[in-house]
Amino acid sequence: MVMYERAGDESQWYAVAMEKLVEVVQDLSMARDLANVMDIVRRAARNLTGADGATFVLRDGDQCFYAEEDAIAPLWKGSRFPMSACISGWAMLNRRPAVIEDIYADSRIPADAYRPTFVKSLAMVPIRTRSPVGAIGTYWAKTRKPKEAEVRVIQALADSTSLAMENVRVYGELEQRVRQRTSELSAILDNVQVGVAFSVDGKVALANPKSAELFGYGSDLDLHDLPLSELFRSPDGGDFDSGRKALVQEGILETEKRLLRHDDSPFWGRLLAKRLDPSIYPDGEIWVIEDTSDSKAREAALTELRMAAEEATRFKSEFLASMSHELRTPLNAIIGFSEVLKDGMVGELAEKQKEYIEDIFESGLHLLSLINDVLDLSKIEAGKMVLEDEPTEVSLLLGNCLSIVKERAMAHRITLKSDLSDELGVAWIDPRKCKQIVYNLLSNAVKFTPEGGTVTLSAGIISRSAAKIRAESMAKVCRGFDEIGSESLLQISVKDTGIGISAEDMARLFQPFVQIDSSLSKHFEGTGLGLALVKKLAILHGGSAGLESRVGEGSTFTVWIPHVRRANGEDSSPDAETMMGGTVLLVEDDDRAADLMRLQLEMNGCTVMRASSAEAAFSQLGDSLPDLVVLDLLLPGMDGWEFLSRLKSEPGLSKIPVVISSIVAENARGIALGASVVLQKPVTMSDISGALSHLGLPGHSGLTVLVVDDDPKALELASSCLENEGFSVMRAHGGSEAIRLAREHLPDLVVLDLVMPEMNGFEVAEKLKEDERTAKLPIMVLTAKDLSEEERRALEGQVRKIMEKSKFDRAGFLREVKRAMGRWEAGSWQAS
Amino acid sequence: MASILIVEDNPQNMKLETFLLESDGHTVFQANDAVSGLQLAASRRPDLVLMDIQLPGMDGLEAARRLKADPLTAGIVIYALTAFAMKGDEERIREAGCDGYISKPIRHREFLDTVKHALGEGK
Repeated sequence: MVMYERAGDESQWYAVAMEKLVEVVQDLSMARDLANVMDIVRRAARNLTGADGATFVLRDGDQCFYAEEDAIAPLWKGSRFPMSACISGWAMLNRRPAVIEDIYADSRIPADAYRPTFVKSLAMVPIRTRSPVGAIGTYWAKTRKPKEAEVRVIQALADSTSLAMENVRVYGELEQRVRQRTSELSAILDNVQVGVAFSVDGKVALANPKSAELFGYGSDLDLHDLPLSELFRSPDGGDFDSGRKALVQEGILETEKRLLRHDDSPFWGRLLAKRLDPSIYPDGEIWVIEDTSDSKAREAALTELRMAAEEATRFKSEFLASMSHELRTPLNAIIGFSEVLKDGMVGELAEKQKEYIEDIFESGLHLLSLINDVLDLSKIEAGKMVLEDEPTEVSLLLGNCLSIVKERAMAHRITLKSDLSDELGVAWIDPRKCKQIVYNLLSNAVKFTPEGGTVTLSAGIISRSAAKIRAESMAKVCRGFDEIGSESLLQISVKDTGIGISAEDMARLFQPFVQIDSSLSKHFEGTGLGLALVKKLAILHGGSAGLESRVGEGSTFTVWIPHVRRANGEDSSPDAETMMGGTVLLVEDDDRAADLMRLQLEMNGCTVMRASSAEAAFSQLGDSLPDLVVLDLLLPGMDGWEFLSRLKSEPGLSKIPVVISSIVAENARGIALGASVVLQKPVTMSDISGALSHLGLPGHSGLTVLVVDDDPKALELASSCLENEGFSVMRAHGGSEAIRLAREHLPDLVVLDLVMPEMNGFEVAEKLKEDERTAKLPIMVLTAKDLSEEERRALEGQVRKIMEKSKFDRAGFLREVKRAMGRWEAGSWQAS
Repeated sequence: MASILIVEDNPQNMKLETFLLESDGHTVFQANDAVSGLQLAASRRPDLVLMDIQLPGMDGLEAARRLKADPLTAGIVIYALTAFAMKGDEERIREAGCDGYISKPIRHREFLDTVKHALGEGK
């Protein structure tokens, strides 16, 4: 207690009092609630001043509430007075201390309230002068004027009190917010359907109830302090710590693995872990755990379903194949005998008899074509239809199709017209399947065109963008043009003057089997299959098909097929490096025939020079000597016979072997004049291959083939085939060995198995394409795997040819090997 | 003309093929299965064997293989008669040693032309 009277010296007293005040301020800074503040203040007020009593007054609206006191006898604790009717109210309203020596002499004092008390003098200071929230009063039992120093000390106490009260308020607010946040967080953690755990130093610090449920613990409290390595146990092994290392390094970890519950039962869990802000938690992590057992199970069920569906498709196509075989056997007798009867081979028939027999015969043929269509469709659907592209003279193919339907058209007095562009040339297509497309369209058109109508076949080369514009005006197009890879398209249209197709019926066309039992079938007998086949074949070629039609006016069906061809003329000299040796001088005046022959020769690995006349040929022979001359006989100027005899009489040239290729095949004369082989036009690929191998051309020495197969027997079979043919063979027993050999030796061809352990063929093909050095190596796949359509698509563009091991035969294999090598320089030609 | 052995299990087809060949002046031997086909081939030494592929018991491919393996019959031209269904049939037929094939259902002109060609091959 500071006793001013005894101290005798006011300033010394003040210094001591302020020291005491510092302690009080320290106490106040620790106070966390108002009661605590008031308790400290009421004692301090008496203690600092030596007064006989002290009160702590709070402003409560327009009243003064005497909240606390510390005095020699009771004052007004718990009482309220209007602010206007008490001295604390005056001090607050006037925002300055009230210092009163004799209270009964002061009009501000409600004397009645003071009479029961000991108070004679007082000092009252407001708390927070600017906008008072309360006041501190000090009272004396004898009449004395409070010293100025005393008032200053109480005012300082009041200022500290103001701060302390503000602190208490802020602290209270913070506490309230923390409580709110905490309850929000626990509401989330308690209800979220994933496990959430916080860990510190590799141990669970906090986990939500779902975590406990996931891992089979009774309560989240059971997880507390559990080491993470004990929580995340996997039946599949795997090092948990290495996973955490990644987390530490990269700050995040995401994985899906099988985990074990507390009772060792397994479940699939997806784990997501993140490091917490290291400045707050140096080794803290948050773990989110999700039970993915259900979706894993669904995934497995889906896989099973897909496999079952694939199995069913396979079964269906096998069934259809054997079915169609069974159906053909009786058809043989039906078609055969009806034809015998129809053609009068067992005697002339009466008119009616002949008519009915013809009906049986035609129906038999119709049934046969249906069986063939069903079989082809199922093959395409099973992904078993493989394109066999070869250089094909388009106008010849189209003419051929026209001639097939000619008889039927004539019988119905239908005019067949054709409008074929001169630019069609030779295209890389599958001639059999393209013929099927065009034949289907033509025979449909003839079937649905009434007597006296017209069917027009037109064809031309068109850019993809032009085709797209044309297709936009069509009612139905079965495949978008953006999916078509080629910029140049072969466009084939068949226009009829038939009954036309209504808009709603059009929507159903091009779909197999749909028409068969619908009302459409009455009008469009069989077309469902035929058109579905047209569409599928066009798409198989990488093209599209479309239809425009008006009821009563007729329909136009159009098919677009990517058109890849060699330029006309002699300037398209192939890249000599990529050829297998064997230079051929082709003496042929007809451009189209020359194009075709050039392609056929190039596919056999030859480098082709062309001369358009015998005279030009002789001048070319002056420049360099070919390994072979392929000679047409009907030439302008000097003819082939004369060329041949002059060549054979020239000492330097007589040893060059000559193959005659002509419409006029005079075997004996050709051989007599010194030709090695005589071929009659039209000449097929196999004629050429046969002639070349007969002459021992071209040689394959110096050409290297890399054969990749993990099965040593298969590896040996393919390798020995190639070695016998003169190729150098490198053998690789696995994918990585193959890639290494390919990079080091750059072979001329890679023959690749698909199913291999360690690295499969798909990956090998991809890796080879990725590396600039090996990107252009031609690849041919030789596999026992039954490829899905998806897998075929994945290989499309990557490999030149896919050949099935089950269909392996020596000659076919070697033919494809040569083809694959020959296509090397074209690059853009499609894999078939 | 020539002598031709038909190995065919379907009686209607046998009748048809026999009729066509005989009407073209050929002599026809008939066998309903591969085993009797092999016996007839060995005893009669025909110029040509027309071999159905799907036969009960031993199939036509196996029969062709045996004919070509036996020096006594190796020189006989064999053509398969087949209701071609699957890709790969052609390769299998050639592998078995057949010299060619005729696909069913047969058309009589084509059939007889092919037979003529086949007979030319044997000479």
